[in-house]
Amino acid sequence: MRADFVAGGVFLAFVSLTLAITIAAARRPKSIAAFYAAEGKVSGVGNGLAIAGDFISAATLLGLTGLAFSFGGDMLFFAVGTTVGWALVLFLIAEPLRGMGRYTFAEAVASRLSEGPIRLFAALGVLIVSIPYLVAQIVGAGALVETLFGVDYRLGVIAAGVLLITYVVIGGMIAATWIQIVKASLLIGGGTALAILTLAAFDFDVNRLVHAAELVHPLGDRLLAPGAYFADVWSAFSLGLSLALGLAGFPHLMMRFFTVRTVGDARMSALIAIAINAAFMLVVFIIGIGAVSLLNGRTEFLDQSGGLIGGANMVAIHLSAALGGPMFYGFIAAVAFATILAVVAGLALAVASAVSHDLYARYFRRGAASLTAELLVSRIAVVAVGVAMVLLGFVFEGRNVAALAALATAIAACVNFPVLALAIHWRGLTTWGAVAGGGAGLVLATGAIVLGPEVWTAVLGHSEPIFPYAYPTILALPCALLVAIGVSLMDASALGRAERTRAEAVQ
Amino acid sequence: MTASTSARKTSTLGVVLSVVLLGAYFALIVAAMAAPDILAIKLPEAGGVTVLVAIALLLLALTTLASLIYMLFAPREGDAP
Repeated sequence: MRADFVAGGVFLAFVSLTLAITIAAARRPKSIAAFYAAEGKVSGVGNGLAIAGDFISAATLLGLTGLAFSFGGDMLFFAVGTTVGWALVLFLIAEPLRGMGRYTFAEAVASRLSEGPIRLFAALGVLIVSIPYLVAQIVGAGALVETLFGVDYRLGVIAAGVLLITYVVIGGMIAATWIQIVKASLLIGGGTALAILTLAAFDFDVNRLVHAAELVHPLGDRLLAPGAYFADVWSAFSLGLSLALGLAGFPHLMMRFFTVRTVGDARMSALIAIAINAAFMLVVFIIGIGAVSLLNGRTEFLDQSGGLIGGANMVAIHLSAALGGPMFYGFIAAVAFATILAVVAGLALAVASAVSHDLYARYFRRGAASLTAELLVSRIAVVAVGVAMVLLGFVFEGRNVAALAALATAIAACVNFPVLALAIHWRGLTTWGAVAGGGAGLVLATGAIVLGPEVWTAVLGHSEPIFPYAYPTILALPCALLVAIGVSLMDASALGRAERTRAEAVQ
Repeated sequence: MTASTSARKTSTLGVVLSVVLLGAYFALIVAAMAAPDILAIKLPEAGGVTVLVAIALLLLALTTLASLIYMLFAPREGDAP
């Protein structure tokens, strides 16, 4: 435990700032549009910052620096995959999505298909996709608090859960968006400063930085060569598919395209997010590789077994202490914690909207629910999500943050992406095709993950996984697409025929 | 130009850029698995980083550039004739 008072003070100041934003947001006029979509009043640049803030989460700042630190060059497959994924969202998804719906992913898809079954499926998809991503963030929060204050991991998990509920229940989407904008700006600034300090430690000589890392890393001069992380080409290919296509399936990211007023703003949002994402990946790579030599032999950062305190996920945090002193360490740790809270708040809001808006108000009450009742159900859902997240955070203690987040991305690529992409770009999609395809992706993706190495062996303790690959996308995504297309083509129901006729007429 | 024509052009440019970027990304993955030693070659004139790092950074820059091209040149759905 080090620099507790300084780090704690900075941390409390930052959390107080975000709570003040939340309270200010709560004073604004209440409406469903404000709670879910910030009344469509966020600017394109501001929304781009918020989207980048949503994606530059614990998995990026903590997980990817850890991957670069441990596996060197293979981290770049994550970096390029997510950036390309953002570009695909801009080129193929963002604008039509903005024009299709109002608040939620389900609403966008349901705008051209039968509302009932689609809302039920989409809400289920949102829940399934969000859970592993929430768990990834909360595991990062627990490890961070454990490292920062030397307290029990579970305390950090509980604190994150309580703050999450406070943010979302009081402030809704407006608060979540403004917290993301503030946090993203500070995180980008802090991360860039840390990368500059890292380069400065080597007199801005990249050759020296690389050589120093290779001298002490177990991979030696293969540190920046490919092959340390991936066991085979299929695993690499499956992860690539997940990262490139999964972003479009994340409800908390896609939901942000409803918070801007025009299609042009949606396009600007995506462009800003891509530029920030690409630049921050370079920052993360420099931090991860630089830390290899800069943290080597620094016993104050090591635990009794010789590993980093808090594991490889804490590389950026330790490096900030090594290079910037207590104040900078406290700042980076506080921003990292706020990052987790803000991302979790956005996810919880997406889950809440799926439960209260799609399931309760539109599916069960057929649009007859009052505003008060819908907001009440939404807030109950947020509390339930917070409690479930804390309990799952206990179960998954010690798991790699980036790996957990990648699993969530894989599920998003297999469940939500096929339905959304076909709904936007294929006139032949019918309601039953969408439900069958998305359902096939859901069953195959979750089944393969449960039977795969991340859960079957790592969590459940079996010696060998039944499904050999960590990421199910290479199997589940093509199956989901084929089933959706096949069922739609064979759909001879009156509903299917009407949907095809309507789509042709619109075109 | 009608709104629907404009929308089709947006889609065509988006699809072309998507295919190019996805193709480059998966080509890098396949190359990393099929010929790792080539991607492990060091480039002293580029700070001692490997071919893998250089190509990955190039792809990051190209992706941002492609997004800017789309932003500037793709007609918006619903643009006036």
